[in-house]
Amino acid sequence: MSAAALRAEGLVKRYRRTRALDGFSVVVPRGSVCGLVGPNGAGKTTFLSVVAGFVAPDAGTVDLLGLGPFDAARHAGRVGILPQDAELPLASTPRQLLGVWGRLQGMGAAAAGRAVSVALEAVLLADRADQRVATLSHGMRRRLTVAAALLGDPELVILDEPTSGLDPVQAAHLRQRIAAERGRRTVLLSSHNLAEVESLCDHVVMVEAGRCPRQGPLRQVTGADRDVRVRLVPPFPAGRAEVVRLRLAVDDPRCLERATTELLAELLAEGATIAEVHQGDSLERRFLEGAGRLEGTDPASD
Amino acid sequence: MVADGGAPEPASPAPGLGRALRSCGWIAAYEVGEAARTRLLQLLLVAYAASVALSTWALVRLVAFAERAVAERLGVPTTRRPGTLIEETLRSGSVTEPLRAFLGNGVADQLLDGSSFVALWFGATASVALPALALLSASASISGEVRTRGIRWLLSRATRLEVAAGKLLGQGVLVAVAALLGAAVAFTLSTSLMVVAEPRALAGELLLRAGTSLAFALPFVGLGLGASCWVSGAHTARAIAFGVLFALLWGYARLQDHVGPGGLGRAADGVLLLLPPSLWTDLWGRDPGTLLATAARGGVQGLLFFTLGWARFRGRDL
Repeated sequence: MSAAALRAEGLVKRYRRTRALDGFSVVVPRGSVCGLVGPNGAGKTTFLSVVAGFVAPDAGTVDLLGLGPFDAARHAGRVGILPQDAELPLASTPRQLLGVWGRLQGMGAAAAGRAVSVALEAVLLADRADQRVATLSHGMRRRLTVAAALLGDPELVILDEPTSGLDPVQAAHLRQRIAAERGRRTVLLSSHNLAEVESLCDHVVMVEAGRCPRQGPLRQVTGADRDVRVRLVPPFPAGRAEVVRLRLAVDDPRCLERATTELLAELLAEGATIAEVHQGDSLERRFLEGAGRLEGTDPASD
Repeated sequence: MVADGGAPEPASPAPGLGRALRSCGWIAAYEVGEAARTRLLQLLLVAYAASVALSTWALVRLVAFAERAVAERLGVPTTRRPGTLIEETLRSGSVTEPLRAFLGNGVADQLLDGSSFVALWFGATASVALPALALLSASASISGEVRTRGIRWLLSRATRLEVAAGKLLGQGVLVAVAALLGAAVAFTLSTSLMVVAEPRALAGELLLRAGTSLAFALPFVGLGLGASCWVSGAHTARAIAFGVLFALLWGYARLQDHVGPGGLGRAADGVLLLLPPSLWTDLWGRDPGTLLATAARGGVQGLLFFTLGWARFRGRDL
């Protein structure tokens, strides 16, 4: 079994003169909840469309679950997909839609019926199962699309902007639902909401101009595995500024916690009063740094 | 069995032809179900039934007018419901013989040998209205879902060929339902407004004409779906489908001038067989062999148009 749930290498996709993907390579480990972050037009949706087989790449390869590029004959039921902006048939009911889709995923009638009930309950739509989709609110339709992606326990779930358009309560519930999938299956989601990605994901892929400038475990991307910032309360000890930063070198044999303990002991010995201790940066700061959009930062120096 | 991470092994369709056929069947059933639930297709079906009803009513009025004129000329009272006189007249030699002399080559025999004029009238109506319905409905099938991206829900569970073939099958079923609906409307109206000596025979005749009109509509299902595979948006697909249809009619008329002995003439004849208008003359008879062969030709023409659309659909970005 492949260690990666998803592996893409050298993806290129052109729309006329625009390169939506420009040598995009990424590895999503099995069992991870992976966030795809990037500005509008960076290529996130194009990448997910290529992964789902909706869009053919001009170059590069995709491998899903070690079975090659997406092929419904092999992947239906094993990969759940929530496409962005795909409208639902309005005349059907959620039960009718999910029922047919479950059958297409290879379930028998009884199994499909059970899976539909479970999926609708998971997104709090069980009481709307037999209402026409046209009568559901935008948020309910969005939750229905998430139920469709989670239908039948897929190994890999791909969610393109799953919380967009949801009110805060619905978004929070959906985040809890996604968080509950951690360890049960691989989840790849794209989002503009960096705080959401930071709270949900343990793996991050940054997308910028059709490329992937940075990817890896969240702690690594945010520097939480090697960076500590300590903010001091004035007056500062001689030679110390308000913020004292500790960055472990890659070859430093110490663990971050031990190095932090040593630094704090050193500061206390110097008579410093400690206000805050931060491990790493926020994902937003790292993202803005990487994109060169943070005042006073130079992306090349990171 | 437990998958990586402790999740239960998901249900996954078995690969192969059986899976593909099941997927096609489910998509076809979904297509028919959606049509039943969607107002637009309900409207198309109602429009088709209404066109048959209007046509049948017009026939009844025409027969009533003719019989009244004849009765006045002969000075005899008219019947309360029309139908008796025209049925007898059409079966008498005084009408059929001149028709045979005029049409020659057995076409008149095929038309008049046991066929009810009501059924022939219905067949003529259905062979125009049913292809139009097929073209309107099928051309919106895929293109509409491509425009809304709703097709992605299916494509994440079924291959493109399964989706397209399932929709072709579903549209075929829809047109078949419409054909039966039209026959039922024609039967109900004609038996209630006219004198029909043998209602059971008329029902059989109408079913036969529903079948022949369905065979005639098959290429149009393929043409509509083929156009639908090429573009996004139902209106664009319909415009293309009707544009191609008019081009085919024009080409058919031009090619007929070139049919004759010699290689070129035979080639033109062969091409004509691939075009839907060629079915028209062969679908009026009652010989089962001829009807089945013509229906098969209609199916092949439909598949040909579908294949042209599929060639685009299989590789395009959706």
